[in-house]
Amino acid sequence: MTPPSSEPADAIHDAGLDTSSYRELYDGSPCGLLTVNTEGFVTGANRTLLDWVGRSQLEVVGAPFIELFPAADQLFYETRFAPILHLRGELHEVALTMTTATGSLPILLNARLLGAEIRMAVFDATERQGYERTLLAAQRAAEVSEQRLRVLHAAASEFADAATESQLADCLVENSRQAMAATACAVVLVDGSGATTLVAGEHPLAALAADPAARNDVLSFRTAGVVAVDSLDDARQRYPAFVDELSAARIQAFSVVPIEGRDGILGALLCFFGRPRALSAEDLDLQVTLARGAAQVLSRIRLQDELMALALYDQLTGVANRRLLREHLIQGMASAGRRDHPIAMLVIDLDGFKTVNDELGHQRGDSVLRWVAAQLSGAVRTDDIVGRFGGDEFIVICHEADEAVARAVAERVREAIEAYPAGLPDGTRLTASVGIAICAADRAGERHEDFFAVADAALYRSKREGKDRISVGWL
Amino acid sequence: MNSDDALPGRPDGGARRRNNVREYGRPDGRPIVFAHGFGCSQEAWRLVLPFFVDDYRVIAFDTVGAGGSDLSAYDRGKYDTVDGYASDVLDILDELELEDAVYVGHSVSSMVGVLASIRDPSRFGALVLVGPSPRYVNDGDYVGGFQQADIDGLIDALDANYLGWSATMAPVIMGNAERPELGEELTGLFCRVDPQVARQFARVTFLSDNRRDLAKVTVPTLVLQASEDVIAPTPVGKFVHAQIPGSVLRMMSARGHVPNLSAPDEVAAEIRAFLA
Repeated sequence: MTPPSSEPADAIHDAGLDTSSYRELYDGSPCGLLTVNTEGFVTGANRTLLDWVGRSQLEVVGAPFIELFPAADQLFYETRFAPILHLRGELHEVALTMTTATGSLPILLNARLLGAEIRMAVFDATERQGYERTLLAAQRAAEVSEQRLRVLHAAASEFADAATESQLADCLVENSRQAMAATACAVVLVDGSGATTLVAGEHPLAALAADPAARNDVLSFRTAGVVAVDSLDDARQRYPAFVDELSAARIQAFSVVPIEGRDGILGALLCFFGRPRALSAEDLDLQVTLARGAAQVLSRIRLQDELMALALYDQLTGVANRRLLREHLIQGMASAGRRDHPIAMLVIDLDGFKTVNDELGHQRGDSVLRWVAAQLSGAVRTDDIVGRFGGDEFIVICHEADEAVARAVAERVREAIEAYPAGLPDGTRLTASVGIAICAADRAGERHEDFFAVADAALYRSKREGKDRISVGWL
Repeated sequence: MNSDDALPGRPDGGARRRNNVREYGRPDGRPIVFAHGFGCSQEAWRLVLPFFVDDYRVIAFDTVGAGGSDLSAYDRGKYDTVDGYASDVLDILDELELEDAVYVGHSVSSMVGVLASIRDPSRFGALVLVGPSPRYVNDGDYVGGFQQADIDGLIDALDANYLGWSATMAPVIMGNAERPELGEELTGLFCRVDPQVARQFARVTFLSDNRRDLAKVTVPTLVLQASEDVIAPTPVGKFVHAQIPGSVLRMMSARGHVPNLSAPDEVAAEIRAFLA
């Protein structure tokens, strides 16, 4: 073997070494020494290195340098360090594993590019690798749990700020996408009628879910539990009907976890991945935890919505209650004054309702009231407000309505109630007496109580003049 | 060549800054875009660019997480697929209003270019794929060259190296990351890559499977295959060539996985001959 010869011969004499002791210094050096040409072939290796790899000089010299390493290290060296060596001209302390006769040897590699030759020094890093492994494992574990905590902490505080279901769902989608490194996420929720809908995010099966009968199953992948599908091949086994849609959306793996409330399944959180992904138990656990955090907030939002409805809507008929009507009336009058248009109010009293109640019972009476509320809601204009004032008295608030408009609405209301199907006591007809009050824009500053009094007086006139009719008064 | 050669920019739509887009050469020349692979930055093309600046509008950029890119733009969901990187290429082509562009991608970026060209072929005049592999892991009869365990080993090697590296270099790197706008010399960073990004990018690069996409390419394509490339071996290059309709395969005498650095003259000559 020829030792590297680019050092001037003088240096050897200066050190007081002859050629053979220089060779011994090279061969017996406590580190492996290698020379490699720019084509990547080994041109020289010292005895230390040959001893380590357990191969002869003939086997090593002339062979590709990269073949001294297992595949994983070849990948890393070629993609990461070969470019740096070319650009910087040297490498320091590259941690690799070298293939040996008996297994492998962890090494640190230093390299320098000199003209057409790469010189390398290889150090046995067994000791270092021992504690480094421990350190690495600890560092990874710490990173994973730190990242988890950070994700969950951020998600929890964002969830808490959500005021509506859809805000919460958007928030859950975005946090899950980042936390799970997912190409897309989706939140599906089950509504009061048991129907599943896509509330937030992107769902590759959305097109398949167009059929309402199939929707519930399709959107949640026919599961109410935790599911992880790691590749399209896996999907082909377990969900053959969905493979084409997944493939068309460039989705190759996915995971589904339920969003569970106290009383059952509220929906599902789905994560979709654009490449094969075998999720670890920790990954799935993170998804489950995100869904659980959102479920708690979802229950809170639904409870709030329910309380709000209790406070503002009539429990029997579902239309606005007296409190909400009052708010609409105050706001409506203010807006009429500001925007310079009239506003109208209809007070509707059912004729013949007392007979229904007395002869057929309260339950039947309640069902008539619910029917009337529905008829009213169908007869008014889109933006008109329907409410129940109490008993068999209903109110309609018509924004931007003059007398002609209010009369037209009232007439539709009267006819809608007249249409009650058969089944009332003999000689009883369900009709409506209506009182209309009109408030011109220049009177909109008056008290809303006075406005109501005008409508009530008009209703009294309709009753007194024979019922089933409409009377109008002006504030 | 350094950033002083860069042309004055058009209004910034975001991609320019995000991907640290640099322009050289003739503003009125045919655009040629160079995309680097896993493990490096646009420096990987440093030795090839000079062969094109006289007659091409030369564009190079960093993937998000590499070089002088904007690390704050890193989105773990988006960049979990090759397709996410392809979106960035389309953004760059849009923002620079490039037509009939030549896209030159090394390693994983060759697949990035394949996907981008399928999504919007109208922007692309030609694709040059240097050391492409649509799938690195063996699968049945297909030989990609690696096993799943090798990829896990790569992640270990990556972590082992960043462990030592980050301990000694962290302050320097963090300093740079906060002031990427200082127009540092392209050559001063030596393939700077964010370790967290590198870990995910390694998985995206080596665990993706884009074999089915190759047949959808409609742009004239050159496959450049180096000899003795252990990362993307010759049978893989031949597979890519066979799958892409009408593609040209050129076997180079350059060895290894980074011919753009080890034999830039040969790589440039092959590209120029293909485009001539």
